Amino acid sequence: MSFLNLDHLQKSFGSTQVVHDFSLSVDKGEFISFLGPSGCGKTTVLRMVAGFEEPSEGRILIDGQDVTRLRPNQRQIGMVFQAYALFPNLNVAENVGFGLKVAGVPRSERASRVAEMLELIGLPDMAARFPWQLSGGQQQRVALARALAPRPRVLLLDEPLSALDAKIRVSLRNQIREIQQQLGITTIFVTHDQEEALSISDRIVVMHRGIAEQTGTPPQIYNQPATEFVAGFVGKLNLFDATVLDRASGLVSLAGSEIRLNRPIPPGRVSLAARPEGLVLAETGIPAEVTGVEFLGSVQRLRARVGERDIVLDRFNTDASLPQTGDRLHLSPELSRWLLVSHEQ
Amino acid sequence: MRTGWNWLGVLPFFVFAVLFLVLPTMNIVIGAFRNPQGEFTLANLAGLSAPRIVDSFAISIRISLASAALGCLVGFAMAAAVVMGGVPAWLKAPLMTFSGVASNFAGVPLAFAFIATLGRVGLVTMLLRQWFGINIYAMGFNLLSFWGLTLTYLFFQIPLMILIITPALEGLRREWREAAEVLGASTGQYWRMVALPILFPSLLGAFALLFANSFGAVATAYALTGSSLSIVPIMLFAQIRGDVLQDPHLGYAMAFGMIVVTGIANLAYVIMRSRAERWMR
Ligand SMILES: Nc1ncnc2c1ncn2[C@@H]1O[C@H](COP(=O)(O)OP(=O)(O)O)[C@@H](O)[C@H]1O
Ligand SMILES: [Mg+2]
Repeated sequence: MSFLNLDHLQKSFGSTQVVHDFSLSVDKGEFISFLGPSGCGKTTVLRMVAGFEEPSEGRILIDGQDVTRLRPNQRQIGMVFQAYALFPNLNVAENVGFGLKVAGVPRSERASRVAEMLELIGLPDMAARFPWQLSGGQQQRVALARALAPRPRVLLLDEPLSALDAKIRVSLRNQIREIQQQLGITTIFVTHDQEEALSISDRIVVMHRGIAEQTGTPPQIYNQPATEFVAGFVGKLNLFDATVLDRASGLVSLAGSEIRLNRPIPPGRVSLAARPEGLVLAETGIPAEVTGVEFLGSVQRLRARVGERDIVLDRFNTDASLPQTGDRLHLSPELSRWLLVSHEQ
Repeated sequence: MRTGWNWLGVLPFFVFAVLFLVLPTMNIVIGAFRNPQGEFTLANLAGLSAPRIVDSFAISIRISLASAALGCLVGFAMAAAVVMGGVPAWLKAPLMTFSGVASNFAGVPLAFAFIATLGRVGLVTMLLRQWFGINIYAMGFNLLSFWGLTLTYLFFQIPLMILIITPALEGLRREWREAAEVLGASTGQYWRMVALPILFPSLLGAFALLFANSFGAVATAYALTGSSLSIVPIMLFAQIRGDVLQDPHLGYAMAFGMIVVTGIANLAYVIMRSRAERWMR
């Protein structure tokens, strides 16, 4: 039995439905990311779990207990907001100890737990500082310590890194993941940044217009995107105009070359697609005309035209000379990494 | 030269401050220490110890404290109800507009409005007596009294409080309330441990402003009570008009006394504020 269950959640504000039939089972200790563009309903689902929004339909269970009608202060949940949520009138130690204080934990016990938490986030010397004296990254670490101090059952993070510099964002996301694994706490992490979600999650829920489009591990989401939206939102995707020759055996033709997918093509409208790093140059095959070359250090990025489509091809940097704009090359059809993405209705 | 003509921009401010603030204040302070012949004296200040004048300071301060405290309390509760969503949102704009008008509705019109409603033969007084058999004057109420004046002052103190505290309430971030709540705090704990400490400097400032506002409100008091309640501004007014003691220099001394009271109130405010803001810059 999973630890956190979101059971057919729906949410409408007035007449607009922003969450449609959202179901998810999270195991104890699992790190789940909600990934999707702004406005797709990630925060709304998270706020229903925290208890700030009441679902229009559906139930929320934590460890078997139905918490759907409980107030936020009865749910034992830890939450980290996007920014500026530390209490400005309290110093770091008082912020971290807040949840323990309102729960009536004695002073000495509180002090040792606060010290333990500050150690955990790597800010043991900051206890007496006030929030305005901290950098944005430090503030978010203190917010994490504050959320974790009362030993919540579930940790919710709503885009906790989006207000920070790119460099701190990367180091802090790794630190969040380390702490999460160390404590083994069940976590939902909301982000619109696909790299963030791919790098630290056990599983990702890709959301689009209030719907969970696909749920899976980072490799599943990236390598086997279920829909065109997922494929396009997570990573870069090249689409091709191919013609189906045989659905059952998965045979298509693209610009005169036959491509064997070795799996049946699902019914409905599908597109042939490939990631930039999944395309390989060859002596013969699908003709492509180079329209631009970018040298990115470890990677060479070629822009090319295949039929009516503009595509991008990435390859590792080698000593070989760079192709030039206007060069006519060929893409290999012998590829195991062709993708089939189905279109939305 | 970089030190060119920038000072010209603030010149109007300094001219204004000197003409309307510094010079009159100097005039009062100097006048308080001079006799009619222009010689230095402490007699004017000694005159302040006359029982009438001491009483008038005492009652002024009490009325100002009472109307500031009640104004803060009621105004804060009303502003909180609007900002926190206890009151329908469409009510907010009319309430703020009304507050803007009412906070300036002092002086003679306000006094007459109150006499016409709560005076001895005022509309509300009569209605209460005839419809409900309640005679508020028989119960000890008197508009021309301490509570009468305090009540009247509240008519502009409450709106003023609403005007100055609403922005502070709107500055409370939703995340603070939600973070407290999800950490297990009750609404009372949130207010006690987070919201009120954050608002405290603003509340203190509002209280000081309301105190000064009623301490200096002469026209309302004069029109309302005539000379039946001797608060400082009325005594002062009388001194300046010359109908009671006919000693303008005692008037200077009283004005000096008012400056001192207001100064002490401001000092107390500054000290308490700097303590309350220890968590800020
Ligand atoms: N309290 C609310 N009232 C009305 N509409 C809301 C409210 N909260 C969110 N919405 C709408 O719901 C949609 C989803 O919002 P949100 O969950 O915040 O998206 P995300 O976090 O993915 O950016 C948006 O269109 C937003 O405008
Ligand atoms: Mg959001």
